[in-house]
Amino acid sequence: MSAETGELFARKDTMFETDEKKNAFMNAWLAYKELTDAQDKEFAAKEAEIGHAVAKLVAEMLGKDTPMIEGREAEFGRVLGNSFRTFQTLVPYHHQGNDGLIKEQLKWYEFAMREGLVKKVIEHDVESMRNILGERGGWAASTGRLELALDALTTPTCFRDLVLGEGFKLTPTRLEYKSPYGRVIAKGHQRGIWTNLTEERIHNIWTIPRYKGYADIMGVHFEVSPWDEETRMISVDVSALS
Amino acid sequence: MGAAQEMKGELKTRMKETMTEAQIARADAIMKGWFAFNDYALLIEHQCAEHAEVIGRKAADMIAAEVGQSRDLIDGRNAEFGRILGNTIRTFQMTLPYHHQGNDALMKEQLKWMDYAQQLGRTAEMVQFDVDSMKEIFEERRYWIEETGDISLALDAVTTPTCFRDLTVADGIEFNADRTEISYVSPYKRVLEKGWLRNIWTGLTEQHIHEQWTIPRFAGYQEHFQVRFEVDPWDETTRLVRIRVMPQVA
Repeated sequence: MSAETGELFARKDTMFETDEKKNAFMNAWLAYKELTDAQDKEFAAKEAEIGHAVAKLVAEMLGKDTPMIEGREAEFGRVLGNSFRTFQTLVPYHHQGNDGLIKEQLKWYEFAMREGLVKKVIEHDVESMRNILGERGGWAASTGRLELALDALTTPTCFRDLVLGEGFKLTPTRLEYKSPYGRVIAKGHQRGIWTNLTEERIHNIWTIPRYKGYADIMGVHFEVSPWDEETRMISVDVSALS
Repeated sequence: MGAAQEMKGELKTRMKETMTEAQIARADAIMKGWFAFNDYALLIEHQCAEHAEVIGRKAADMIAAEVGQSRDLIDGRNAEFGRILGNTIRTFQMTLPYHHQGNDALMKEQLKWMDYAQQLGRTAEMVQFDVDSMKEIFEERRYWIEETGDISLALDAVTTPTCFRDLTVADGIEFNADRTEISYVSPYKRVLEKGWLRNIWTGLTEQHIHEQWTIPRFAGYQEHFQVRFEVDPWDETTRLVRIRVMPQVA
C-alpha cells in the first residue's frame, strides 16, 4: 500500500463519535455550503461571460484565433463553476475532477463483486464496445497504425475523465497513468462502503480483463503491467498479434 | 512482412469481399474525418498539458476576479485545474457523431449499468443497493435536519455530491428560492439516442430511467432523511425532472 493511501486507511473517521464532534462537522459543512451556494449564484449569473473570458484566455495562450468552444460559452462556464465547486470540497478529502465518475464505478464494482457478477459484467461491457472498437480495429488494420488501438482505448471521455486527477502519458505504443481510485476507496472504507474493493482488485479483476477484451475485438495485443502497490502506476503496451 | 502489415493486407482483402465500393468509400471518409479531429484534439491537448500549470493559475485568477473573490479558489492545485480546462476544451471539440458535453463519461457509465440491470432483470435490486450505500451519509444529514429544522438540507444532500452536479453540468440545475425544489432537464437523451444507433442501451429510454431509477432512488433516500421527496411524473415534452422536499407525513 502506498504511503498516501495507507495514511488514509489508517485514519479512522472520529468526527461522529460525540455530539460535539457531530456538531462541529455540521457547522463546518454549513459554512462550506453557504460559501459554495453563494459562489454558484455568482457563477450562474455570469456563466456565459466567464466561459467566454476563460476560453479566450486559453486560446490566446495556445496561440489560437478562436476560443475553441463553438458558441457554447454558458455550458463551458458551467463546467468551470462546477470544477471550482469541486475544488472547494476539501472535507472529508480533497475532491478532484474525476470524483463523480470514480464513485459511480466503485458503487457498481462493489455490487458486482458481492453478487458474483464480475465476469458477466465485463462480458457485457466488452460486448457493448464491440461495434465501436471493431471499427477502430479496422482502422488500425487498414492503415497499419497500431497506435489507433491505444487511441481507441484512451480517446473516450470515460478514460480521459477518469484520469483527470493525476493525468496520463501516451506515446504511440504505450499508455501510462496512476490508478485513480486510492483516495476515494480509502474514504469509503472508513464509511463502511466499497469494503470489498482495493485498487489491486480493481486492476486484476476489472482493468486487465476489460483491456484484454477490447484488444481481442481490435485484433491487437495489450500488455497490461501487473499491479504495483508502491507506485500505483499502470502501463499498457500495444503490439500486433504474433 | 510485419504483423501489422499482414493485418492490413488481410483486412483490405476482407473489405473487398464483404463491402461494396460505396461502403468502403464511406468507411474511409469517416475514418479520415476522425483522424483530422484526433490530430487537432491531440495537438490542443499537448499544448494544454505543456502549459497546464500556468493556464490553471491564470484562469483561476481571472474567474476569482469575475466572481469577486480574493482568495485562491483552487487551493494551489494549478496543474490539476489546468488539466480540467484542457480536457473540457478537448471534449468540446468532439462534435462527431454528436456534440460531447461535460457529463458524457458519467452518463455513459450510468447507462451501461442501467442497461445491464435491465437485461438481468435486477433493476430494483440495484436501486436498493444504491439506496443502502448512502444510508450512513444521509442519516448523518438527518441529524443536521433535526438540529436545524431545515428540511432543504435533505435536498442539498442529494444534489451537492459530485455525482449529481457532474451529471447535470451540461444544461444546469435550478433551485427555488428556499432551495426546497430543484428542476433540471433529463441529461440522457442525446447520448442514449446515439447509443441506439450503435445497437447499445436499446432497453433504455429517459422515461424508463426516470420511473425505474430516479423515482425509486429518491423514494429510498427519503427514508434515510425522514422527509418526503415528491418527484414529478415523466414529461416527454419538457423532459424536465422536478423534485420537491417536504416534511414526512406522520
